[in-house]
Amino acid sequence: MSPVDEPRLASEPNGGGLPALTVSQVSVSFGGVSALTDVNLVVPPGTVTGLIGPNGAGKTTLFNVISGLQEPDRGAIHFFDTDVTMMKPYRRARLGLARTFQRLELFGTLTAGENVQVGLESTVKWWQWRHLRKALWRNSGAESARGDSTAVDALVGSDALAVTTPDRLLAEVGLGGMSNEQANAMPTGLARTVELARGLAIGPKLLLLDEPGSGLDEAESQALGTLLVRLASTGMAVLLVEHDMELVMRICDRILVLDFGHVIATGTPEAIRSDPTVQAAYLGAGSTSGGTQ
Amino acid sequence: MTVASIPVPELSPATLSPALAIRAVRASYGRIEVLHGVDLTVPAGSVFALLGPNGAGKSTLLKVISGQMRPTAGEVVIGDKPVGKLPTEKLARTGLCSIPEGRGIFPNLTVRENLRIWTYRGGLSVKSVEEQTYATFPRLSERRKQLAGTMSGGEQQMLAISRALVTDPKVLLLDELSMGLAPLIVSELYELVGTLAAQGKTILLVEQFVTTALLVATRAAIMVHGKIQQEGTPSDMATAALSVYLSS
Amino acid sequence: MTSFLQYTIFGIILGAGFAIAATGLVVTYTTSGVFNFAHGAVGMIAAFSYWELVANHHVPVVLALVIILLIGAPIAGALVERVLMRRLHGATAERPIMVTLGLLVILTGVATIVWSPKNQYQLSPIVSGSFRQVSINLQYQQVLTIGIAIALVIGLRFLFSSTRTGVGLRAVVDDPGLLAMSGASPDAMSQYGWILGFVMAALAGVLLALTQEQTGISIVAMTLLVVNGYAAAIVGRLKNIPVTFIAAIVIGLLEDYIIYYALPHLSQGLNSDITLALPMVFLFIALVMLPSVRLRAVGRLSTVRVPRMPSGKESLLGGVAFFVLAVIASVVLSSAVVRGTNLLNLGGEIMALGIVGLSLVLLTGYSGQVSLCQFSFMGIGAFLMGKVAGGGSLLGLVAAALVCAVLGALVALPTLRLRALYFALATFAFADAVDQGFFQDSRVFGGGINVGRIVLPGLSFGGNRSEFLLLSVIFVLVALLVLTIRRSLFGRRLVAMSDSPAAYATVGLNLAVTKVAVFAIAAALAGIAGGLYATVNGTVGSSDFDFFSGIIFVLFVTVWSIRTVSGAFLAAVTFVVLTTFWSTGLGLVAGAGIILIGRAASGILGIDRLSTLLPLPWVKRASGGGDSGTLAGIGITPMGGEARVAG
Repeated sequence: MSPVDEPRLASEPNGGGLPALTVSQVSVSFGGVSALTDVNLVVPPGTVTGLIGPNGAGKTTLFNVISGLQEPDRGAIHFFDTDVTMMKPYRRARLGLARTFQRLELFGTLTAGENVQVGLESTVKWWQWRHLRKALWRNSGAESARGDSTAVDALVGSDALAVTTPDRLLAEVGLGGMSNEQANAMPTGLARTVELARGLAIGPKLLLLDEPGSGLDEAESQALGTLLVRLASTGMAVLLVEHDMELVMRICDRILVLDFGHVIATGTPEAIRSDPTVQAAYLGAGSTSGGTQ
Repeated sequence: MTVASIPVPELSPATLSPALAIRAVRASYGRIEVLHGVDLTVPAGSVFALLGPNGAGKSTLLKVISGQMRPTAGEVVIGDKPVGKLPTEKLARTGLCSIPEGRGIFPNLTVRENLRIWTYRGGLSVKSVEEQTYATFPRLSERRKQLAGTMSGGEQQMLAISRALVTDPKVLLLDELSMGLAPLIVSELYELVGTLAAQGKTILLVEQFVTTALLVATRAAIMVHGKIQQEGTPSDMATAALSVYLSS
Repeated sequence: MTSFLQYTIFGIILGAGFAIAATGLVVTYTTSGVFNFAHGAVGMIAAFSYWELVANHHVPVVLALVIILLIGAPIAGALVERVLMRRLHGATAERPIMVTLGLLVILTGVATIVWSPKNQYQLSPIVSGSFRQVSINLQYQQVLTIGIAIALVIGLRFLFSSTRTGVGLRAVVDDPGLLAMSGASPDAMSQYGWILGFVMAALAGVLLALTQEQTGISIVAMTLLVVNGYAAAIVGRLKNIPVTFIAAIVIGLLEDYIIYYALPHLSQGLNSDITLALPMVFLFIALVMLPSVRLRAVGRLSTVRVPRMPSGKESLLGGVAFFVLAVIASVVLSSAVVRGTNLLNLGGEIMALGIVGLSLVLLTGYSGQVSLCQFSFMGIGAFLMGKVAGGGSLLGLVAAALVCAVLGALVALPTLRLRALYFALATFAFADAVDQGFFQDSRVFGGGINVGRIVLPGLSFGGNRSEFLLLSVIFVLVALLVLTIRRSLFGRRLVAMSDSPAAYATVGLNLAVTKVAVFAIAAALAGIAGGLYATVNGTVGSSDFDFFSGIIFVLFVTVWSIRTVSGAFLAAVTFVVLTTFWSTGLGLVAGAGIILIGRAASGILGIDRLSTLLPLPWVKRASGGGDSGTLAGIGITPMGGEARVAG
């Protein structure tokens, strides 16, 4: 492998403000085999940052470290100016950090609407009488939130999306009318989108997406791209792990390449595409001389 | 690169009977279909590289072939016998060797104990298995009493592939052999794949790393979204794969 | 000093027995992933079989041991694996727990029928005689026990390191799929694991029975004696045999020292049964010391559809219909008497137990946590109802709810961070410790405590009919409450927590708080149910809240459907009817039921075909919910049920 192209930790082009996420010198190993080695990266608000790399490069491990499901051996994670390295996952989420999972982690026996609603209501105290009172008559799912949108409006911290009911949020991600579908009965592509909507429901400032495009057809993937760009334009920071390179190249402002747990390159889509180190990482050993024998 | 110097038998697929045929195979996880009708013919004695991006269904296809997953439609034929509902262990005993993604070893057993498991294939003695393995990989001999999981990734993969070496399979399935390994070790492993190929074994290998795989392959195909997108000579597929991966 | 040495020897012998039991449990768990709750009962059956053969039929000792250890136990182990366990591949995590508990109650049920608890069962040592060494008396029998334990450890060590089958048994733990790809059958390995486990349980049972020379053996004591091994197995994290072995010896010593040194100094009148609670106390401590389970994304996808929830209106209509039926029943059956009990009082018991069932729907059905100690809370509730404000007071009911909620939270707090199996084991330990250490204490229930009927201002429930109607109303209200909770934000969270803990945390929700909350609420409901239960017959005793009955009741709810209000009600009906007419068959029916239900997550009411074949209108209405119908739980299909989605 060629020498590591150090990521730019200094101020980012976007306004010079604080990065939404700063990962510094993070290392993780499992039983002596190292999964991440001194990873540094920053995700500025208002951008879509791509994270790519071959299978087993450590992308999902990095997501687990950022969201708190995996404790790093070394290094620190900052969410804006808060050190979240030792913080429990639910506390990070309350700060505005949402994620999706490569292998779906939906609330499978709830409906799509209920999945989103759990996210929307995540800051509500369950012992508040109002919620029990509503449940006396109405069914769970989308309907119960309808007509009470002002209350829910206040819950959604981010103004990224002007949507406040499960129905509207689902419609926003292209799943209008599907809120009564049971989540585990939906095709992968749609289920992934439900997961995305659930993440958006907590009003995140940083969105970690682990292969949201897999299982989507061409049109759906297009729509996903448009949505992510729009989310970023409202100031949200998006970190995207994706194998659909067409999508990554099209919407990312910046791309990081992870290989063997190291960040081997950082740059614009054009720079990454023509980077020989990246090609080598994707194509395997000895390929710098070209793709054929 | 040493790998290129390995003599690879020049075989034309047309002249050979297939060692492995996959016909209109569909498979799903629960309600989610991941293979949407895969057709693939691997001629006897060939090294077939199956390429494609993550999530294309390559590993799932190998699971179907090795009997770990039942297809929802279609059939798998090894030699001239349809696999039907044979359980994985029976398939293994009839000469199908499948080395799974990750490490095909038992991490909490020592190297010797791992080798002992290889004798379940039948007709093998522990002694001959050990001798053969250590002759090919002297490094494993030094580590014979060490827990396999504590070895380096490369050593683990050597141990994994030793199963293919000692059990004399008719058909060999290799899933992401090079994943997470340093280039030097990858070429050492592929040297062995070349040797196995030279012995006339039929090999189906799944790889993300195009070049490595294509150095030994005699035939290749690209799989995208649960289907075979194209099939051809290794050099044609190399170019095609690069465009699929980096969408250039 | 001499007595100390003597006690130490006793302790080691006891520990050796525990070690054999514990090791067997670990072998089964590591090779099949199933914790055999029936392990103690297998040992008990072996001990009684030994008595039957040797003491009753004068079969030579060696032949008896051959029959039990080399023929009976292996066949039973192989059958259990083949018939009961193999069908459970892909079932939800709670199901193997339930099925082995089913086996436990079947075995104890059968034992009660064959070896009536009224009789005495005395055993004499295999080898008699003793010798004196360093001023202590050693019996040859004791030396033999220690010798067998040591030989077994050496034998196991040889098996696991120097035979191919042994290596295969370890390999199946690491990676069953890879073992199959190497040409060995993982199912066969699991079967060996069960056979070994059964043989070792049986051996432990026989050896431990022989330590009970003075008292003779009893079904409950023998079953629980082997349970000492559970704690040791937990200390060894269910995988480390040497640690398990040492832990077992330590537990044996501790138990012995406590019995000989600590107990005589405790207050007078303390029931000797408290020693029976010791295994469970050790188990609880061992569990609490376990490290937390790490939250992770597992990518499990359940493939089963759940039905539409009934709306509030539908639930209410169902509740009203149920109450109307209850009124009609109260008129028609007012003077019917069965076996000396007024039928309406049986109805009252059903309603009270139905509320316990509802607490399980909330706790296990919705939020996926297995609790085996609802009867403990029920008993505590009944006790408080009898003691607070002179009995039969509403204050008693309030006290029952509050105390149980607090106790529930206290049980949940140290254990909620554990994974499902350990959590279930903790409730198992708690339930038995409360039963043996508290309920059985003669100063608690004694011969039964008197509890009056509830008196409300202007209302009296002295009559059987009004009492029955009061309990029916409360049952309907609790059912409506449970359904309302399910429709509320809290209910969504419960289901979400059960479906994906990792996602639950990453949307900003606190798993620990939710778990403690639901456990406390369920405990409070069970406490209220106990208080109400106590008012039905005016008197309650410890046998009403017996440990085994609690397990049997959980099984009945699971068999009918732990996800529905109807399931809770039907389980209560089944339980009360069987207790009245065939109490010895209670465990047999529950065990057979859970075995037949097997993998079907939502029980009888969840089986589509049955409910279409038999349109049982009352099933839907009587519940006050109508949420039965085509309920299907989680993970019914073998491959896809809990399939991991790989790349």
